[in-house]
Amino acid sequence: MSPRRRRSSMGHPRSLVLAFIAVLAVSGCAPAGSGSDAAASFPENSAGPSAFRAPEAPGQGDANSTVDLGEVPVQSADLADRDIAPEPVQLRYPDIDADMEVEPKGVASDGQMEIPDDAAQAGWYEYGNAPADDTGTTVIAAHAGSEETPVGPLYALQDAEAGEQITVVDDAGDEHRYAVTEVQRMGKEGLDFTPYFERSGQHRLVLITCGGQWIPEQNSYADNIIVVAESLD
Amino acid sequence: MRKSLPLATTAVVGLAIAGSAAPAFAAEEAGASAHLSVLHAVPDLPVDVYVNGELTLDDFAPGDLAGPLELPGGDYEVAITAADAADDSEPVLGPVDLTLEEGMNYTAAAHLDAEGSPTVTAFENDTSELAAGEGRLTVRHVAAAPEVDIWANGDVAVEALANPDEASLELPASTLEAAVSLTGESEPVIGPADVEVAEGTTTIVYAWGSAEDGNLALATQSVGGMHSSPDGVPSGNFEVPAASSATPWAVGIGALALIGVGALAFGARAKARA
Repeated sequence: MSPRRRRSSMGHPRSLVLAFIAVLAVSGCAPAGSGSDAAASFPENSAGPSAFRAPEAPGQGDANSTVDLGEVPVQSADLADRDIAPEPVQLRYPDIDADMEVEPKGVASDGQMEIPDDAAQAGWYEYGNAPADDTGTTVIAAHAGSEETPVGPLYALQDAEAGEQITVVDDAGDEHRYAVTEVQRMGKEGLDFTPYFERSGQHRLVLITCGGQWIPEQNSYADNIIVVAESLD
Repeated sequence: MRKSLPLATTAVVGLAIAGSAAPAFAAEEAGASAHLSVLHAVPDLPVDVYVNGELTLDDFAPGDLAGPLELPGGDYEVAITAADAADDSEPVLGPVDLTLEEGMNYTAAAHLDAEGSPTVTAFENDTSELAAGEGRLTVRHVAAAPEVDIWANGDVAVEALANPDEASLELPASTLEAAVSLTGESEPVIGPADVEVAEGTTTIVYAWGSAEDGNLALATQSVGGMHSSPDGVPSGNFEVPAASSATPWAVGIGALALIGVGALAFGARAKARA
């Protein structure tokens, strides 16, 4: 597997004064994660291959003799690298003045998506689809704000409007264009992200940040702001 | 020399759905048909594969994986002949009856048993949903070899796996350094080799070939689509300053005010002490 290129986050001017108010940042947007156990489990030889049984009912295998099998794809079963689509490296959304670096992010130990600490930096869900894919969803998320960047570029996602154009650049230098179709504000409590992390169907871009009411006790916003954009390519 | 199985030992492979409930994912598969892949893991024996009497795989070579075939659930007869056979009347393996259940995923492997005779084993591939960020690694022993240990990143991950058994584990997606040794030994008989355990996917690794003939090898198969979404997108652990106070001077005043409060408090304490 080719190692994914990881970029260091951009240096942003810090303000000591701003840092003063930012000591609070702790956990996530919402303690919504049900917590998945990341440890490997080693079940005993699971189901195992089916048992052989004595021949019986001769001729039963002919029941589907008319099935048309067509051409069967054959490939070598050698260990091989998979082709990996170029990963996104830049997100440009001029109507909300967002121009951000994007880095690949996976899943944290609590089962939630990993988000770059700095709100100026966006994270691409690396297990989902890449912008060059013809199908599925490219998910890019960023904090609404952070210590380093109190007002993150995606904080303005709540002002997104249908029809606005977004460009994602991948590390092959290709630009992928999208147009906003939906802007949603969804309460995080119990929110099912399955529809936003689809890996099949029409290719699209989903941008996610947080917004709505700030809940001091949870150190988190109450909602996710989710922008869905269709591919223009 | 080609080995052929005497009729008496011709195996009828019953695909008992071993205990496990149908995976939730199965319902999403198109038409809920069954998926069947065929792995050729008998060294040095190019074959033809007939399904229900029809030539389905011509000149199927060792180390190759065919499929998946999308088939309606039901019973199928699979016969494997020498590659130059005119029809399936004289199979070198089978015919075997496969019962395929809708929504399930199978791999029929033609391989050697522990003693080196060709056989067919039908494996049911686990397509149950995986946690976000995880992949499933399934290892299958289909080689003419005694029990083996499977090593992952320098540790024994599966102990004493016998032909034709399998073992599965779910772990964070990553690339593992995999090796196979005879049970209780540390010298690899296969590998080490990098195996990518892809997210949302069952990666199946077969140890195949023959220890005696010195052609043990790994074959892999990927069955995808078991991913699930993350439990959340925690993108707001920092309260963005309200628009009016987003400018540094406003925050600065706030900070000064706090310092002022601190000074007052300090003053108060100083007074009290006085």
